Amino acid sequence: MTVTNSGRNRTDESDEEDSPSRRSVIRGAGTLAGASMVGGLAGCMGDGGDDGDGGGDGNGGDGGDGGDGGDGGDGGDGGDDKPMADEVVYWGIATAFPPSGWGNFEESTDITVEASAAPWRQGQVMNRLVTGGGDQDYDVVQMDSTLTSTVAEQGAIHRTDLESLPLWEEAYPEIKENQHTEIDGEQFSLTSLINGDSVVCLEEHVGGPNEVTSYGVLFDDEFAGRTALEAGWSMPFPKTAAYLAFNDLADITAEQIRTPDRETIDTVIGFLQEQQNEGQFRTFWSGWESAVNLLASEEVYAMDTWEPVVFALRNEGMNAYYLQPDEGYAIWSHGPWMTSAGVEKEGAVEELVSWFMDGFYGADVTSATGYLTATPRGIDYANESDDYDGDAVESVHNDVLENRLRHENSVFSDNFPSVEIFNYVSTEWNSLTT
Amino acid sequence: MPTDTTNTVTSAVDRAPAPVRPFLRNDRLRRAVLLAPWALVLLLFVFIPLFAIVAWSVMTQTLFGVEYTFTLDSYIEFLSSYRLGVFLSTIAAAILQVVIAIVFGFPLAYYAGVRIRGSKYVFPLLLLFAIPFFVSYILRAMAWIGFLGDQGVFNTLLLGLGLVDEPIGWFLYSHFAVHVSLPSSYIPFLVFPAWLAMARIDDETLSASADLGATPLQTIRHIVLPLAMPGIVIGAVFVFISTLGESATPVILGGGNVGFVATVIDSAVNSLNIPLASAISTVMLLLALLILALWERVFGLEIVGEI
Repeated sequence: MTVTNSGRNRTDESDEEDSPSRRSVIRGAGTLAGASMVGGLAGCMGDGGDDGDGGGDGNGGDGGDGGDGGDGGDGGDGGDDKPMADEVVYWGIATAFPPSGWGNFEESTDITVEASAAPWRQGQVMNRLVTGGGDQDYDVVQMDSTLTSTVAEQGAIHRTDLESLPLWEEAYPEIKENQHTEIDGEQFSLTSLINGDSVVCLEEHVGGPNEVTSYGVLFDDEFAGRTALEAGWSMPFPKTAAYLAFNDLADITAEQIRTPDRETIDTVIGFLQEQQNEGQFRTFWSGWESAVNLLASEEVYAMDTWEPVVFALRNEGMNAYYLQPDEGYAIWSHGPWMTSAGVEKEGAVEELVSWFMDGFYGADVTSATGYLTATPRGIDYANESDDYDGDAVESVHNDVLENRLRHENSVFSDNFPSVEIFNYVSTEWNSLTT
Repeated sequence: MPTDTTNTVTSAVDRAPAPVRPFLRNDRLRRAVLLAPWALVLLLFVFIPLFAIVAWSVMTQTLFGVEYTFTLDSYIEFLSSYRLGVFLSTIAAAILQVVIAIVFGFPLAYYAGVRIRGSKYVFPLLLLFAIPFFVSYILRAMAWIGFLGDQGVFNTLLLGLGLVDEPIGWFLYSHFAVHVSLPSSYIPFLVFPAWLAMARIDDETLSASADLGATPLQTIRHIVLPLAMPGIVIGAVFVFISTLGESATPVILGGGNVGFVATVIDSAVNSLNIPLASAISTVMLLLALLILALWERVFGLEIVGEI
């Protein structure tokens, strides 16, 4: 007994009679289905890797539950003669979200914030803003300040009117002097958050903060297979470069860390490639949950990651600390950009920008993340509130200002010095992580 | 009966206005009218985007777009870099997933489609394979960390049984982790069409095989397998194509040790290099067309409609 494929021989005589017509229709349908398959493949391509979001929910700490002290937002009179709105659409890295939510802002201004998390992927965010209609979909975008000039040149974001933002006068000098937010003497963003990043260590496994003072912990043979780097290059790159430079392992200057060239990129990624081949790294993480889980499960003992992770681990009762590196910190900042759509409701946007500089946001975010906000108002608010520890907030402000931003070896790297360099470092880094 | 149907059609045509009748009697025209809406949808949402991808692949990258030139630089960049190795290893991984899906999926489809056909348990059994799709693919991948990690289920079990002295590190962030986790997502793609094909095999055919003295294995070999082959092939193609497009699992469970071509495309997009991303996608499309051509040669495209 033989049965051929697809059961074609099961047709009776009458089927045979009309089979050419039927088959041609079926063939046509098959062709369309085949074309759909090709199209499906195209759909599969290029949509990957969006798991590296900007930090999941960003609820890394215990920043209180809303606060009852102080006033919510007296910092701005941005509504004067400027278009207002009852809603602002906000897009930003999740760790920059106020951990207690937007209620304080919404109650004090009657403006609703429609917030969504942006990925910590510079290229993706710029593409979205410049070519993907993001400048029309969002009113305020809070992202890597070093991208400011690039997106401004493309017309996606617009000048910040300092005269409508009186709290600007109270901003720390480091905030005012952040050159990444200024173009030809005009502000195109403010710095709402700034910090110096290093490495999270589990004391039980690698030793205490007095014993470990170098990024070398990431590359130490003793911890082979127990360290991890971020999948994106923007933070691990300057830390590795600083490690190589400070320890005379490579001829790299501070300027080359600040604005990398091809030679520096080759040196740093070549070094990391060797480490990777020797099994030094357990993984390259992306996303908030992944970062916390890796350390919480003790899959890794030392990891290049964001400071809120330390807060999350401590909340779980773990003895984790943020490295104080001899090589200096990798400084970064975020600033709110007003998009083309935001211009249409500039008054409301300025209310939100003012709120970022005011007390509630300062106390709330600093308590949960260790990030420095624009003004000392966060300290005042925390002191007046039962929900926050004023001393702790003040301690963070002083630590970030004195020990990190003013550290002689700390470097604030430009993540988009040029499209060629951005393309090159992204490509080379990808060869490391795939 | 066929005569009645013909009469019905004929009378319907006769009732139509005279100028329209010649068009209704034209088989080719009728088919064209039937297929036209779908062809239009495909044109707008499949072929034009595909054409755009192919066109971008030969253009030159600018800061946030492309310059209208004709260059094969992006293809050269793809073929002369690590990306080609990633592409080839992705194809190998996809083939492996097809093999795994067939090994595990065929018996399941056979059980549901032949052994318990008509049973009230068929639907619940098949539903079990649909359940994973109610969960985010990222969470599905992350769930495996709880099984494969140092403190995961498998290592805890092995340590508890005294089979190992320390956790096995390569369970996680490795090729092993990726290839162990992917089948849970892709086996259903094979099970459903294979089950559908097997469920359509006549009971009489199976009974005749047994009556003629065939053992169950011989029946599978000579009856079930040939008749179910279109469904298996379609399922295999689904698994293959889906694995090629996989991006989250290699990142989450591969730990930088496993690269799939979708992550390379994603990286090119994130690097603002649209022509390169398009060139890699175009090569993937050519691969899909090659599969279609092979399919047509071996089985014929009409089997898609016959499943």
